[in-house]
Amino acid sequence: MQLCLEGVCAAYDGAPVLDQLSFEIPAGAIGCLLGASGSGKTTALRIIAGLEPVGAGRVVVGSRVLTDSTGRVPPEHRGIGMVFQDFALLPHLSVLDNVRFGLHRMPATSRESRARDVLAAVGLAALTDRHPHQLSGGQQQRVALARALAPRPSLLLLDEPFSSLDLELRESLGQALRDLLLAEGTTALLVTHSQHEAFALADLVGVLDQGRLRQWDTAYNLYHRPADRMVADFVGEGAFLRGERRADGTIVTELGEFAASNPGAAGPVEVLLRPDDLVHDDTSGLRARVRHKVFRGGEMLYTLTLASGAEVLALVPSHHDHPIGADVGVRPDLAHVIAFAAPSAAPAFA
Amino acid sequence: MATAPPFQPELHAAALAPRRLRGRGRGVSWHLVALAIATPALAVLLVIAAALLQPDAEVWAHLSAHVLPRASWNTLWLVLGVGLGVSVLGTGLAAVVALCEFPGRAFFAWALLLPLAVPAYVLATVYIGLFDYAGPFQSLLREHVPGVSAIEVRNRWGAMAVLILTLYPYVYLVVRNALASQGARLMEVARLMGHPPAQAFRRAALPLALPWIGGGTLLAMMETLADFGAVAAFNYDTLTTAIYRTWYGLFSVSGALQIAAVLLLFVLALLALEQRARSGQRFVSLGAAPVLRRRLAPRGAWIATLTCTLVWVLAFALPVGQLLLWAAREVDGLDRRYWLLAANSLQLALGAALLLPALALALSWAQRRAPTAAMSWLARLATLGYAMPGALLAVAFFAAAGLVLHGMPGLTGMLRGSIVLLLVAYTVRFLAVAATPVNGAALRLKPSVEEAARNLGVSGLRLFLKVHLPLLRGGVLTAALLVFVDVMKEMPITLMTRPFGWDTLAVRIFEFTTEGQWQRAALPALAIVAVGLLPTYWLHRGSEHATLS
Repeated sequence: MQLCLEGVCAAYDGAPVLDQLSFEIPAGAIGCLLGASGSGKTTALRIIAGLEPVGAGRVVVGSRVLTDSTGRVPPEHRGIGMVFQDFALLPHLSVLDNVRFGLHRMPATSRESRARDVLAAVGLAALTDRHPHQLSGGQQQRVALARALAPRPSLLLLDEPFSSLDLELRESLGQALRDLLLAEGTTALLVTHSQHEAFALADLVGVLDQGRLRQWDTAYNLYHRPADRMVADFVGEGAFLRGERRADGTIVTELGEFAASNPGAAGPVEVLLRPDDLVHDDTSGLRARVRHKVFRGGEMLYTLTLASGAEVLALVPSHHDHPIGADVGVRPDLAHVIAFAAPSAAPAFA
Repeated sequence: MATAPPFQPELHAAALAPRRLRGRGRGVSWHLVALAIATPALAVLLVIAAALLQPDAEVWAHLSAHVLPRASWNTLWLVLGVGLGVSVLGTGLAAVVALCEFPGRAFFAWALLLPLAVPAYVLATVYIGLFDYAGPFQSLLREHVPGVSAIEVRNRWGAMAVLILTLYPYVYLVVRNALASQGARLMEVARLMGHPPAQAFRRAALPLALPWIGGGTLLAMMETLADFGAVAAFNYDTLTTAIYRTWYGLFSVSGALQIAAVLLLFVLALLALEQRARSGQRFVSLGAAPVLRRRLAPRGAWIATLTCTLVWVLAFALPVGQLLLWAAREVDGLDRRYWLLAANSLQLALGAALLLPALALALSWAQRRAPTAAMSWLARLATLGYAMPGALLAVAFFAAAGLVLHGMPGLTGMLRGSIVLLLVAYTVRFLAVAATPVNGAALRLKPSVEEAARNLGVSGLRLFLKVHLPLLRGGVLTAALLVFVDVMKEMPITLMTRPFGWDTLAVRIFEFTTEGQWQRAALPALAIVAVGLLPTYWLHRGSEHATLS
């Protein structure tokens, strides 16, 4: 079911944790709140689950208002599933009983078969009689997921679902999770500090910074059309190149002139240059010096110094191997020209 | 009476062992060290087993006809009653404090631990002084309510009530920590999965807490079994008082030993149960996300606040207040005699506080250097005494010393005239209390830390001063503090094996109580309560780190 947050505010001991948080996830889609620790993302999750109250605003699932500033539906009547960061499995129950734990409203005859079906879907059909302490971290995570999905929640919440797992497991489980959520048609919201996780799993991603939602958009737009400098910094790699915005929207930099993709006032600006915005081209007249390079298998990430001394990044097929200190030709290839007022000339945003 | 629920050291020997190849020779000497430390405990078991296997027929006939049935029955009653009482009271208070929000919660979270500072025999003295026939309560009652005759408080129910009020913190502390760190979290899960709060508690939090409830209750039952002062004050005959009467009344050491053997069977039964409870205590690692306590509706909040207040007043405020009142009328009791008592108590407590942490450290090091199966059995044996009642240890030591020193009357006299025997008995009773913090500190000193230091060229004395000492210091000091307090409060061992005329504060309290001079017991009792407050504070601080509140 669709999830909608409208102007949600929350505070701990007077200190604001969430400030006017609003976003919407359409039914069946997967959303993600991306933010550093302390950004308020876990609080947002706990508010949606009904574990904590709001100061202002509303939480609406489908057409049902679950929380507003006057009260909240208790967690047990929300029909929302949650996968905790630490999994929070019941240590005294077997895997099967953990999954069956939330099925008490189902007819008794179908409880066990539903639990077994979900466990099979997460690949744990063979481990139903084990206890949580006999499982590996990845297996515990899948039990937690199966347990949350078994009652067919209208919404599934995932708190840093992969943070305690190693990298390889994250990737394989992430793909499996996405397939499973799509198969069950479950609307889901996860919170994470890892943009890889966000990009791999979510249809819509929001960047949360000190309790404020900076942008709620697709991963593509977050990367290529960041709404502000904080988002541009937080998501992906890149560099900022100084330039000047003219009144007609043209931006002049030492790499040439570009038409700005985002509106703004005339004056000194900084243009976002992603590593794939700069193409290696030996024939180009624009030269840059190799300062640093990182081999990434298929590609090489060069840190280059331009004539002005400005540093930029360039992602280049790795067979173009240049030594540090060499001069190479580069050519800008910007699909989106995102420029922000230079920090010195503009009022700094929060 | 042990202050901290003494947990037996669970050293993971394999984890501690440096991954270094070593010859067999060194291991043998460490085994000898451990054997030496475990010898007194072993001697106790052997002496009592001998009494069990070769009963003195004549004495046995008398005991089994006139003493044992009644004492065993009473003991069983008391242990079961106190067990039921502390598990209900301790769990109830723990659940309310850990999971709910109500006025005064933050205060009661630590204040409900304070009764740990009041030994059962002190509480017994106060309550008998207050509620006995001649006490203020019954006098008032007779004056204002016509037709009221004498109410007997010195009975099973009085002893049970006093022991429950003293021992419920054993359950309260561990269950509160288990619920606050893990139970509250699992209740959130249960509620998200559609279970209303009461059901969530029953199905998620309570099963999780059960092993802790069982463990705490069994420790309290062991203390009940070990209690001598409170039951003696209430004229309630149990196996411990039977040992004392047979020994000091009938002058029959062999008879006392046979009663001790029966008592040992009770102890072993409780130990076996406790081991089972402990194996069920699993920690699930949960993150540090804040857990909200449930805000109680006004009616529930009132009931919670009133209940906590009532327990706190009955178990701590009332007895301490009464002691202060009595002490104020007895200020001239602060004479030379009093300070002599205090000096004796201090001397014993300091002696034990120096000796036991050192022995615990040696035992811990032996386990680390020679992690064999035999070693872990020796360590278990050496720390088994926390379950042994003081009266049992006293008579067993007396008998063992008599056997060892048979035919050496000079040496026997010397030993009986010194406090060596006392210190050895304390070692058996309280080594586990010292071993818990020392082993905890030793666990932090991972072999890789030592190896890293060596790798950096630090060894020998520098290694000890720079690595071992700073890491072990906290654990050793804690051990010294806990042992100091436990020996200050200890009564039956001191009473029964002390050199002639060697009275301590605790022994005087017992004597004043048996003589019915409650008021005069107030000054020594206050000193012991004051000392007992130290580890209570320490326990609370320690557990604050474990919980999230």
